Amino acid sequence: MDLNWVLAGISLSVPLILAALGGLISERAGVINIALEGMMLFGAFVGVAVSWWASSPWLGVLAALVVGATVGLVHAWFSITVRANQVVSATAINLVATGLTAALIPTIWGVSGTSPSVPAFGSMEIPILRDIPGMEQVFTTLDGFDYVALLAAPVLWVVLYRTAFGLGLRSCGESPAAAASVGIDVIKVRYQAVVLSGVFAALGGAYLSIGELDRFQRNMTNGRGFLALAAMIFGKWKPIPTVGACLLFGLADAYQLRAQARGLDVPTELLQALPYLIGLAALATVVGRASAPAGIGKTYVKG
Amino acid sequence: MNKRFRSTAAVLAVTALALAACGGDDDDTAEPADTQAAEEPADPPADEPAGTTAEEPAGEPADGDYLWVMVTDQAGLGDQGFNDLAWAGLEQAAAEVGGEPQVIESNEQAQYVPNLQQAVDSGASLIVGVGFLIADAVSEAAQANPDAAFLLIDAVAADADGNPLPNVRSVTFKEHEGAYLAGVMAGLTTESNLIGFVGGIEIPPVVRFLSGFQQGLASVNPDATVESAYVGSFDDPAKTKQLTAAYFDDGADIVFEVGGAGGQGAYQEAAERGSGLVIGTDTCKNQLAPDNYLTSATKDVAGAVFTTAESVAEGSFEGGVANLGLEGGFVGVCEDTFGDLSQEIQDAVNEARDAIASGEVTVDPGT
Amino acid sequence: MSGDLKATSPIRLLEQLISGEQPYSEQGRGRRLGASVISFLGVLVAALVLATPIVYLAGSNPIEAYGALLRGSLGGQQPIAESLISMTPLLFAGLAVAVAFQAGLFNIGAEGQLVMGGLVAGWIAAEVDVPAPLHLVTAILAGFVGGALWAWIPAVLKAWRGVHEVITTIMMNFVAFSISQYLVKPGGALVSTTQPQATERVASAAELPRIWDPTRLHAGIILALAVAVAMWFFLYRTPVGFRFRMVGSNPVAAEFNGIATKRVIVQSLMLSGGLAGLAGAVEVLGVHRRYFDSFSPGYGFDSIAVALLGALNPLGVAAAAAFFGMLRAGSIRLQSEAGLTRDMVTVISGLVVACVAAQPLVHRWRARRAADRNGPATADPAPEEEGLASV
Repeated sequence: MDLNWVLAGISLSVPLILAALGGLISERAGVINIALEGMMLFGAFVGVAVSWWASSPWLGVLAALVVGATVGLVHAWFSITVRANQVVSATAINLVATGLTAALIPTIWGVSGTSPSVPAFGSMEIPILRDIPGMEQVFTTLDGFDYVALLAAPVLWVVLYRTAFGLGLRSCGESPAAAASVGIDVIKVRYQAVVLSGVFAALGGAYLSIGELDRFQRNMTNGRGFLALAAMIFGKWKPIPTVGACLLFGLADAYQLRAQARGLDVPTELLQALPYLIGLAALATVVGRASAPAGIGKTYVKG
Repeated sequence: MNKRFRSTAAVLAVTALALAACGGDDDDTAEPADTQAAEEPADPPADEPAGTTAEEPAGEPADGDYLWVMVTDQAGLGDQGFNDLAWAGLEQAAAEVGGEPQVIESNEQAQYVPNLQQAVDSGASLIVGVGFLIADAVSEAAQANPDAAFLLIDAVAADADGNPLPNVRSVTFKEHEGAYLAGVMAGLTTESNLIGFVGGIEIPPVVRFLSGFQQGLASVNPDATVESAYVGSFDDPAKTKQLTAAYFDDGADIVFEVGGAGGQGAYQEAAERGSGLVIGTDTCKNQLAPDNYLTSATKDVAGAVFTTAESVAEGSFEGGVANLGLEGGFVGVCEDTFGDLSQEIQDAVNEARDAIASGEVTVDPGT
Repeated sequence: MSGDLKATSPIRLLEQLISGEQPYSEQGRGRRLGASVISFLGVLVAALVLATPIVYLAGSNPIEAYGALLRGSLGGQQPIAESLISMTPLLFAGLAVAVAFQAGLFNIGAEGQLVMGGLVAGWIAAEVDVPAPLHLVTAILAGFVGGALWAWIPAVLKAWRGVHEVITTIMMNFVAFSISQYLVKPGGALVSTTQPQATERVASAAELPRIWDPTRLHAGIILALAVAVAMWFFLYRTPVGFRFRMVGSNPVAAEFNGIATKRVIVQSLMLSGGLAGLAGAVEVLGVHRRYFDSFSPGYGFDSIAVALLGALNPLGVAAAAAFFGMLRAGSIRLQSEAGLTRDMVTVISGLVVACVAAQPLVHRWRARRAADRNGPATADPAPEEEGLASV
């Protein structure tokens, strides 16, 4: 147990946390979102493209959010207005995201596979906290995304469980008909939730490309969108446990990288599978039963 | 009404994406960069005189109607490794010998054979198959098309009885010899005597890099140790970065990355810390972290591709197996930055080079 | 009236038509089959139309591009063979996903099951001494068992612990990739002496024979089509299949009717895993002739789209797999003849799936038009589709 390990674990968790919370918002409102992977890729790509074009990572991250919202809007339109099968819609988004982001690298930068280096965020030093004994490393290593991700969970908890908006959102996921009967505009709430979901996932993608790194690479999310989905279900569609699940994955991953680096005499492949084996073991023993919001995946027709 | 507005917005979004594709594309045709890569020339190749996409070569032959085709493995162009290098070799061939380079990127392993066949059907003068995963497919395509000329990188093509094929030139590299020299440099540079090795996946070329490096290191600095670890893929820069960080946190001062495209994460970590040095793979990578770069264990895939293309143009192409190493300079260390090193290190590296050349030292590939 | 309206959804229509859930007159049957074929083709045409500006903007002549696509997928013996080869793993894996969906389960782990099936089949075919006439059959069955067992853990966790299958199957994927990497890494237990990241070549008795000289089309396609028909019969004509669909459409009612839902969960997910395992086995024994660590570019994930495009009906899945197979086979010429990158091909597949997603729009529009013709007072048709497995 050392601080570097924890910080590395957080860094590996943050994209998962952001995407998983995005998925949670959408699914609590009743719309399946397995498009997290594609939304992350779009966010990662646009973050880099705009940061490169405008020489400003801030504009990059802003553009990533806008694109995330737009992709969310597309998924919402298909899922809610068209009443398409939500898994089909999400699959389309994932495919287009994978293809388009990779195809645009050469059209924009004239090289394949990886963009050039672009302006990116570094770590953030927090003036006063930095001076707390023993905490210097923490408050000089973490970056803005880390704080956003870690604070997002409690904020989301408050929004979901302590506000009228959250209550409405959850009721749209559990029983849209009942929600409608008390005057909630189910369609509007679901639109808001899916768009917000895209924003979160895209932020997670932008973290990878201009927070943690400073370039876009073809398919750089590497399945994190799906892992985020798993973490969300692990956390039983609840914000705090979801973040806990993401941290579990991130810390286990950081641990296995460090264990390898220290020459632990265990096959590397076994170590690489460690986060998932721990997850499976936890699910089989202590975590157990989880049920999705009752109204999830079902189309809602205004009566 | 509201609903209609939303539909319109969604349609606009899709259109915007399409327009984005458009906006970028103009750039593409306007300014072909030297790594031009995945995008093929937009115009039909037939009416294009050779060489318009690359830098205009001097004295290009008029009869340069060669077609140089490469079939990538699944990593495709942009892998920062053998695919990119093979493409560079074909571009060089197009520029100096004439003709036109073309790439077919494989999306799946099951497409290797039809992709190679497509290259044959399009009348390629030379077909380059890149990577050891494509070896079976090259063997199959070469036996089905005995008149076509193939070059296989990083593996040996053979028939069912294990005999080399007459129309395939198989080229493998002694990565360990170049890595040995990098190990010598690292051994004389390290102060902490702890060096980290970051691999993508444990595959034979990666093992050869590691093996040679360890031997080179031990030859000049027996106290130094190398720890090795693998990311699990060649395309996860974020994880590669964290693995690099783990080494530096543990006190390593040099990291040797053989991480493919994901390896860029290693340079980023070193550059952010402002300390620690990275040794790269395949080509000089000093531009990725100029202040934190030691050298690369290089592998001149481009040179091998170019010379083979040249032999096709000269009519001297022949099949067979070549295992290329320090001799002829097909592996080595980054020359661009070599002069910046201390005289002591330069001398030691040159000494090791001579020792390998003379057979006084043999480097064990470890596989 | 309202039944008629509902029937305009091709998903439902195809299902009703082929399952024979409702009696149709021969005439009506023919008309409905026609409608679903038209609907299927409509999706494909719409996707190509939608892709046209993108193809154009990517610097390629769309007519030339679609010509290349067509020549590359249907223009002769070789292209047709390649389309069928590409179709085979997608059909098996698509059936795998569809069967699970039919029982109300979202098997996102087909990829891992496919890897395990291929690995086990490749191992049996290359390393294990089996009398020659039985070698091939043993290897294929082993692939089925390998995939089924890999799905067993998520199945049991789902049935007895209520653990959501999406999370377990996703994690089992990652574990499968690690195991595969481990076994064929340098010095690994199954690695070939000549070919890195792969097992030894399979014994010639264990190869799936080639069936259409001079192409490399192998017998896997026949097996795949036979399995598709068998799965259709199983789902719509057998009591067990009926129980699967019952649990999928309404688990509470199924339980109430005395169906052992837990057993159905385990059976359906293992059957699904077995079918995915077959995808791997057939690909290894038919195309590569040895297990490669990287042989699957994600067939298991692509098969989700295949299953849904095929409306979860095995025969529809076969049609969908055929289409995606053609797209993959044709994509080779899209690169070399039309100058499109492989990534643009992925974009086009995405657009196809998007057009599938947009289908309900068209059906509602048609329904509304029909309603306008037949008189007012007809409400919006019922939602086309219930939620699939919950995610």
